[in-house]
Amino acid sequence: MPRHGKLLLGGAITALFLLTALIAPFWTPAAPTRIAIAERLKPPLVAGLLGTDQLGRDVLSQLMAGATNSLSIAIASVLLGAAVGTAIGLLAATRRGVVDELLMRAMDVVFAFPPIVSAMMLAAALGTGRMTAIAAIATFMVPVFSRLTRSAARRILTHDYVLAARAAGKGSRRIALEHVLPNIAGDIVVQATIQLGLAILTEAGLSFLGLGLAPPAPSWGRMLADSVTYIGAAPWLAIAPGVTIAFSVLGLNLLGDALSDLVDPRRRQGR
Amino acid sequence: MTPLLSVRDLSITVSTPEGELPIVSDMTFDLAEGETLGIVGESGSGKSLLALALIGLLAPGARAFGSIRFRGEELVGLDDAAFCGLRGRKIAMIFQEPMTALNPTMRIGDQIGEMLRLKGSGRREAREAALSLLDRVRLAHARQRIDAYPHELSGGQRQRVLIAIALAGGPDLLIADEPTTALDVTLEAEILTLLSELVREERMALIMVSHDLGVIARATARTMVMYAGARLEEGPTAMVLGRPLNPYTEALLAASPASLPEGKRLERPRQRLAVIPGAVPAFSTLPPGCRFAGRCSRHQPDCDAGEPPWRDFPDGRGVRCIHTRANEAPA
Repeated sequence: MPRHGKLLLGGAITALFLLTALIAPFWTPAAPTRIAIAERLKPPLVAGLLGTDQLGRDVLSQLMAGATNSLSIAIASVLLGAAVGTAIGLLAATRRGVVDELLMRAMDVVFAFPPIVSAMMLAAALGTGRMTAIAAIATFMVPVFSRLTRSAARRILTHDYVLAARAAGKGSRRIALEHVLPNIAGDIVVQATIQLGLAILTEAGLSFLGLGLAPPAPSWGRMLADSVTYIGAAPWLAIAPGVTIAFSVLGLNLLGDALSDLVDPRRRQGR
Repeated sequence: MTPLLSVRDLSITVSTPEGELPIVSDMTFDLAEGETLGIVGESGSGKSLLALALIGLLAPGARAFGSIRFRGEELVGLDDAAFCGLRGRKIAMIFQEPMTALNPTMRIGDQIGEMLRLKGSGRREAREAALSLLDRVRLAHARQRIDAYPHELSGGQRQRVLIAIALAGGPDLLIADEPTTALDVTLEAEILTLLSELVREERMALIMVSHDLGVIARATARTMVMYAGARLEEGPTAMVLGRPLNPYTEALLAASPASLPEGKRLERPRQRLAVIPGAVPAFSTLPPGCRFAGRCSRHQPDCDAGEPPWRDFPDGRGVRCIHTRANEAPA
């Protein structure tokens, strides 16, 4: 696929989801949590565009409200993970030596736990809910960003302008913030885009296991979980959230891929 | 009067897989306030390492021994926080590669003003000062270019910006490590003229590191010739380049095109450029005697007996070569 195709398609899908997430709190075709037992398990186009679930709730409205929840949790956790991870990576790259070693081995330990497992531990300690989901997903984002930042920062630190900045009498903190960070920001943004897709997937997984938002707050993962019982009678209940999750992740991955092509000049030349 | 910079028995070692290698050894020289010193030598002679040691920016594997005193303050072993206060403010450095020595994500005005903001100037004050510095380094259309990013400038313009950054702290000593190597000849002349004028106006001392005798001849009053990490000859530039005492200096001059200014040019007929046979020895396999012995046209058996001692002559020159007699030094 040509580069601009990836960028446009990924950008369009992502924009659509973001727009939906922004609109849903104010308008959905039906109230997403309104129960109407008489209308239960109606197939798509018979009741609403995508049918209704076992309690007669409108599937499309639930998906839209779920977008708000999924994206807000994903964005918050990626921001948190990126902020903490970048700080750790910068510290490790500039301090080197023992500090570097300790921080990076700690990251290895965090990285060793699968996100679902650490989420279950956190949920056991803190109870389920939005904050637990954000904390759990952010925790497993931190090592990704700290490793990326550390290696990118070490590359920047070998540049002449860093030596020139040191020759001008700047301390390591100023150099990290003013010379290293702006020059690796592109890499971090690219990684954040890709991690956003992963965060959505993880959030859906947590909700599926009942570790995400408490019902009745709409969530893609729990819609999927609820649909399991009715998969023979009402397959649209599984297909709708499944396709939604797949498309949102696909969009973010395409966007991240296109952005990383833009950021990396070597790949740009090779088009 | 104590000199501005006083280097005594300085040696620099670099740790390699084969162990600690001495790259620079037995380095001793003085630099007075406002004096200009050229350090000349082939690639790999340790001159850049020496320059980095003077500003305390040796890479982690390299270590300096001996003494570097700046206004009486010992710099060898000074901790980095204290060195930070000297860098930029008292000692500044200009690097070889203007294309990579500027941060690509910062406007040039901010990069110049940064030094001043570090010293406590306000935003507008720093911008005004940056503008006047850009005027001083004669960057054309400074008012329009102050908000440019480095990639919008040419190599010569960037080198001017780097000089402006170096001047921003009002240093007493400016170290220029091959500042014109990456520039073409016309620009080289302009930048050298600019540097000479700035050094005079600001009463800065200048250490100019270069492999180009023409650059050294144009920009400095004294010259030190380095080879394989040791000084072979030092003295007033006109004398060192006009009547060299060390065969190595002689060979260097013979191998350079006649680009030296009139009066400093070696008398010789038009002919093919001479070459110095061989290459600089590896630091792990330095010869037992004179470092240049293997390539020297005046090589004798006693050259290999041991490293020739450094000898100072009363006329301000010095040399490391057993062939040079005191009476050879022109009065």
